Amino acid sequence: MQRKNSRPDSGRRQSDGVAEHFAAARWLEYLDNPGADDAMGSHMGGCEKCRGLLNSLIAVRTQLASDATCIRAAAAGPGEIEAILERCLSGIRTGSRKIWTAAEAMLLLSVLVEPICGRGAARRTISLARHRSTPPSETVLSGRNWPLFISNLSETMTSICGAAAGQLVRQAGFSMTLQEG
Amino acid sequence: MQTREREAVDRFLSDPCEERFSDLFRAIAPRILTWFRVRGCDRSLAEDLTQEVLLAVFRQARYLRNAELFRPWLYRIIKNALLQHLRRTGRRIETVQIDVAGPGPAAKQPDPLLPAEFAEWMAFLQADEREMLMLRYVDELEYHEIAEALGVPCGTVQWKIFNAKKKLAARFRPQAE
Repeated sequence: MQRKNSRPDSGRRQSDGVAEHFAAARWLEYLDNPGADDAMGSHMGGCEKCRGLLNSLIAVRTQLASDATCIRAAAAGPGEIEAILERCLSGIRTGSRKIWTAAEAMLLLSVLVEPICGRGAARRTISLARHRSTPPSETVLSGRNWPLFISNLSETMTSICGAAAGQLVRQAGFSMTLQEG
Repeated sequence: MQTREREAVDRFLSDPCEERFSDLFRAIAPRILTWFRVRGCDRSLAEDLTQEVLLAVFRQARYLRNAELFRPWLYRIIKNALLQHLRRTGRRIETVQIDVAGPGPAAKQPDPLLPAEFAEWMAFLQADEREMLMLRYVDELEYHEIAEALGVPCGTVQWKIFNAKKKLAARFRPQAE
């Protein structure tokens, strides 16, 4: 267990001028687990101001937690969740999302990148990113190294053409699903 | 993260098949639906967006390398789904009426999902404080998960939540049971 300072934290002062003897993090920790901080517990015994604050914070927390439980219970019933799940699984099974081959995905990315930085720069940038993303034994991109490839390409595009171009490449790249293997 | 949810996440990430996705779905979909409803989406829209989010989870989970980051990652997808919906529709969605002012001729009916007192409390807070408290209590995220999801330091989250609780305590003076 972490050792606690037995003395109140010094220099804590609120904007409303009320002196505060412990940091916010320590208060929150104590509220969640009073037994873990003996020093703060013994301070509460002797400091009326802190004890008052503690009681009011406990009351707020209790009320918030109680309301939150009601909200969660009212928001969704089990039948409703099952209905959404069915729709979701149906969407997955119909396979509305296209699975791209690496060649198709690279071609699409080239079409996206060329107007931004020119054909030559686009080819070299994509080639560099592919080189950085595949181990020496492999030369072909797949679903496994696609995220790394996109991150590298996005990084290079950011350094050449700016953050917006890098972000565009990242979003386009991660929106595509590649064949595995 | 609750044990059931944690197990479902781990099982799905290790083998993202339909069966495990269904288990994960049952564990996290109520939370996602609640997130959209609490932020003002009607039931039908919340269901559509929940479906959209979970399809994205199914398709993109293999890009998530660290299971510890699942919840912050999920909440970013949820937030983006709502933002994309707003962009698509090109207008603001109907929001929950959480103003405490009396009902005027144009006042909307309060969302029955939100207890009146909770709505009043949330309306009293600033937007970032409200978001953090909702993530903490309604969505049951840990402080570090809120920090990851919102892209702010953990200390900032703790400070704002602590401050928000103090503001609520000073304003509404709830009594401990």
